[in-house]
Amino acid sequence: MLILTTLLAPAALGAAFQEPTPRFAAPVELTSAGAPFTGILYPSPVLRDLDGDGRRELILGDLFGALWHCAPTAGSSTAFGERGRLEANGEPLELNNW
Amino acid sequence: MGPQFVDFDADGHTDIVTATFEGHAFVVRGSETGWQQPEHILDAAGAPIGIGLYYDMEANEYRHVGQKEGEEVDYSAPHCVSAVAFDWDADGDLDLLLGSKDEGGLYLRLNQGTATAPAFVSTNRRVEAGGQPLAVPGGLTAPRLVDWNADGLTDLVCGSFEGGVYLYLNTGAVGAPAFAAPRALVTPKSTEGSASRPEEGAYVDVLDHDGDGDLDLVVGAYHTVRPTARALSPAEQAELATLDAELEQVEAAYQAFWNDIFEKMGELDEEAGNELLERADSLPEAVELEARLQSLTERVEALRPASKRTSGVWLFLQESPATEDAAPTGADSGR
Repeated sequence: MLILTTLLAPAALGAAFQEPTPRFAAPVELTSAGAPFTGILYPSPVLRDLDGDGRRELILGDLFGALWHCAPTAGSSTAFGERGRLEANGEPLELNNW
Repeated sequence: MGPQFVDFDADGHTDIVTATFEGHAFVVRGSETGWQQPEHILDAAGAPIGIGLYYDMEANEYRHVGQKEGEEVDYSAPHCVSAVAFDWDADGDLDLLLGSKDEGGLYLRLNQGTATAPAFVSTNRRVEAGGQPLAVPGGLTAPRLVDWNADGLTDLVCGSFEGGVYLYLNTGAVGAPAFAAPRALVTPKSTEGSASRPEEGAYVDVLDHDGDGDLDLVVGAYHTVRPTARALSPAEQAELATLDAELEQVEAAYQAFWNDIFEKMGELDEEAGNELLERADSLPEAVELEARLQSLTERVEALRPASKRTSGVWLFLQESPATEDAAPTGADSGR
């Protein structure tokens, strides 16, 4: 049996839509260097090919205003390498936060 | 934060547009030599763009000043925690959408300049959905812009601080977006089962990750690891009861220590009080109490594992209708 959905639209919210309800497979946790992405406060992910090599890196913003990135692991869609900071002129990028 | 990668200044280099809990919108400009340090995005009058400023890093003090239409100052205003650039009115330059945290609102800041020389107006306009002010249930973490249903209009997918992900379809026209009522793509926090899944603080990205023609979700969030308690022997049960009692005593002593410090601070002038506070952590009594607390807690948790809230990132692959209807491999279809 397919494990499909923890993800169903509440009828009350879906009333305005005529399109079919999208359904998702059970979520798979992404990893960095073999371990889950724990320890990042409020991680906000973006998958994007930043270096133009045809593969998407994972970029994560965090609560403190830091931006992290990690390279994809060959042969996997959910595994990534060690994370490092995005930098500007050799210094870690850091946005103001309180 | 919810960074958006976009050519904000139309110079041919990808930039990063975002906002932080501070309350301001930022741009990190890309260049031939890489990223530049972040800048506040300014309006035409030179003021940093936001909704309500939560904390002023330059002045090093908390603020709660808002900008709404017709109001210069609103101390009860929500504060901005996300920003994305989007050509709302299809005039060839990027406008800004600003997300506010607790009310879950989205605000439009129009650009009356050009793509290369933006001139943002100084007031925000609340975006509506379903004829009401858009209000993401549970508070808005950050919006994503995507044509979800491939109708040529940009839709919104919004994460929620309570853990859900919501789709707002654009039922308007190019240059005149109008959003429908929300539809949950991921339901808010659920404790069903023991499987790892996002439960709170959901930030979402939307893309066709597996290349099958439909859009998938990547969600950064918190979840709670709920370990299964193991059966304890009678000796372990007795030890746990003793540890609990001792832990309660040490916690009370630790609280009393800090109460005493705060009481003494009240009897000193500000400078001396702050000096006492700074060295209180290293006083022998504090060091001893903290060591005992740590030791006791570790042993208690070895016997009775505690739930732990931790962050993570999850991939939700969308199932195509054909996949949903297919008989599972090896299953007896009954025919």
